[in-house]
Amino acid sequence: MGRKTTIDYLTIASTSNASDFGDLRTQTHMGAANVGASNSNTYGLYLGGYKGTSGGQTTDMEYVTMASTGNTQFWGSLTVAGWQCGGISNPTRGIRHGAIYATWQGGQYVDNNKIGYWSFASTGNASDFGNLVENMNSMSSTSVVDGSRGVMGGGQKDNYDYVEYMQYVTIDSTGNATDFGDMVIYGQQNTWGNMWGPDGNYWPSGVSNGTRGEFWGGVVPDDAYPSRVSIDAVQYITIQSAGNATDAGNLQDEIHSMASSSGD
Amino acid sequence: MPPDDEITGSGQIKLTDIYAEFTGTHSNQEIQLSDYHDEGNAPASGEIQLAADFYGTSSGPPIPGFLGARGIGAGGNLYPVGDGNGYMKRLINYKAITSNGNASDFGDLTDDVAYAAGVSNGSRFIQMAGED
Repeated sequence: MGRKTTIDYLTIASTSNASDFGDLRTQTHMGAANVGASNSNTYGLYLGGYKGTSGGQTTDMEYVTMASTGNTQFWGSLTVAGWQCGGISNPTRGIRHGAIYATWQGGQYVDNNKIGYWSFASTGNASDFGNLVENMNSMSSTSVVDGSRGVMGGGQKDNYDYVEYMQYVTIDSTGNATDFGDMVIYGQQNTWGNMWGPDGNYWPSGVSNGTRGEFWGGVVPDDAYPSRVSIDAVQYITIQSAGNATDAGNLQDEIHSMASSSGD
Repeated sequence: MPPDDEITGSGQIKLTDIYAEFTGTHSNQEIQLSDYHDEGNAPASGEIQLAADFYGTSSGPPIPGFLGARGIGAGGNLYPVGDGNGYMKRLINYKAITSNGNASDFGDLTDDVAYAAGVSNGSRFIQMAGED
């Protein structure tokens, strides 16, 4: 496995293969994995992650100007380093939430509950926004948003204890996250014949159209070997109406940790 | 495309469309435009114009321009394959967010990648960083 330095792009309205956009700041980094994502109408950012040939968590935010092509540039620093984090945004403000960070305690990495935010008006560092419901990582890397509210799906805590609930914040304020409802799809069968759900879901991918949000795929616990499996489920919510998710269809394959967004 | 609960951005608008979208502000049995001052793009007082003040408006929060009706999910990881480890993907899924249904094949990324960032300006999707 290797950490990628490449950036791809595509035109959302036209199905086709992706093209080369540019590279990460290869003069200082050798790629990043397990990052979050956030964007305004102009800038696209990746958040934190695990960088370099030998690893190393980072507070770096890097950005591209989406209408052009080119390499990333440095935007600012997050409030805490870490990887497996998520992002929320509206046109004026970006938010990073959750992460694993390398405070090594008792032979395990420790999750954090920190939420940080920054303005898209100019480059700069993040400030403290509030806390998640509890310490966790691997929520939706792109969360679902409608301009005023951002909803984060699932997650993981305490080394493979999966989170089945969603939580939300009001983007233009500051404060702690609030419970939204559960990501629940019952009684489906995976490729190995085992039943999964409703015991949590981490690493789903979020997309939204401004009123409806969907969480695609993810990882759920399994009741037999191999103990965790990717799923092909699509679940949806109405962003302004807290409540449980509902089954909306299936992906092409069982998968988790896609890079996701929407448009056109 | 606008989200499905927005008033149309072209063609005919009916008073009942405005009532349906902004019903909370309606004060009489008879629908009157004056009930909808300060809604959509209508002024707080004075003349209201159906098309100019209500095309593409919604009672919800302003929807960011970077959102749209088509969702994109690129790359990802499949747990597990035969050895119990993951299998990185380069396929790109897409789906209409406005309705239920299955995702379809959009194309491929230039390489297998997961744990990456996805961003959009509404017309262009960009995938950054990740692991292969």
